[in-house]
Amino acid sequence: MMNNDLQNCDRQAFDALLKEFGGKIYKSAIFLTDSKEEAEDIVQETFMRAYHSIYKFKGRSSLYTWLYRILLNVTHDLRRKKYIHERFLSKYRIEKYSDPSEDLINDVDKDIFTQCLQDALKRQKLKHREIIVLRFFEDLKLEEIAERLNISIGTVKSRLHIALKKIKKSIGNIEQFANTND
Amino acid sequence: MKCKRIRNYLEEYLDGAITGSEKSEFDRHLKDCADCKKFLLERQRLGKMLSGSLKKISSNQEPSPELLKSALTISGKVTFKPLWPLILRPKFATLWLLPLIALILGIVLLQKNHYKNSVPYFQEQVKVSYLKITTTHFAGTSSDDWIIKRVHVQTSNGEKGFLTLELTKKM
Repeated sequence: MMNNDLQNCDRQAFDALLKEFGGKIYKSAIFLTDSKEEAEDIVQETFMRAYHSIYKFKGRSSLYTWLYRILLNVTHDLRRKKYIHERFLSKYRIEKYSDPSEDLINDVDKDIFTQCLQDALKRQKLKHREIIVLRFFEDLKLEEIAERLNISIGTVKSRLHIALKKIKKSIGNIEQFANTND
Repeated sequence: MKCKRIRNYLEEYLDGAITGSEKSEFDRHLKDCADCKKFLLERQRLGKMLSGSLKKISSNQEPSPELLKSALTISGKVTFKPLWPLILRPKFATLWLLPLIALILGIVLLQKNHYKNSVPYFQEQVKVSYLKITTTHFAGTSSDDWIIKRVHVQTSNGEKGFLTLELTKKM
């Protein structure tokens, strides 16, 4: 019913979609980007693209999966633009202005592990970061991740392996955090 | 070798994708092998901590209502993109334009060839069982000028017809 309304470009149906998935999409976006501003831009772009290409949605996957795939595409596009921009900055030795409020979780009581994890995530490549988000934030199984990213299970496993190895390396000994986190 | 296999399929094991006798084999190995057991526990602990931290971070993050509102305000009116402009694009047009031209040329050539090779009825050799020559009507500006001789024939297999033979100047 909702799909039909959406495909008929019913504004109210789209509002309902925003209400239902906006929060979830935003929460994933903050892990896939480096700042709140970027996350907001990405969410906005995701819903904009979804609104303009809803006629392409054939209902083969769930609406959320479809939206999530758009989110990942938008994130990859942004990352590519940012990479070109940063190369330009480094070429002409222009200092990047960094805003301390960019830190995602300034307003959360950070424990050491969370802080380490945040730093480790920032250092990950996007393809590894998205696997971590899908596996540990969205709690998806290997098969579901493979479907969402349109890659093989083998690729998911190897990316997950590399991502976890990097995180382990960044945070050091897990035992030291285990007691504080449990 | 066995430890390597266990570690390789650990993620599937955690997903519950391994069942039956294979699962009991996994369970047995994890019970007996201290290294693999440690590996599993470490992975489980790391997973739990990652999951907990990510959820903790996200619990305080909510999109502002303005953000969601503006997502639709910017998007404006939906414009559906019909398929035909895409088909008419130069790179796609060659896909159908060349076969279409080839098809038309083929049809034209075939038709031409057909008429060239086709034998008119009156050139066929048939046994004529009935023949009658009549002058049917006059042609020309003056009715007195020309006579058209028409031959009525009936073939041995019963087909009837006529053919126009010639124009003869009226004497």
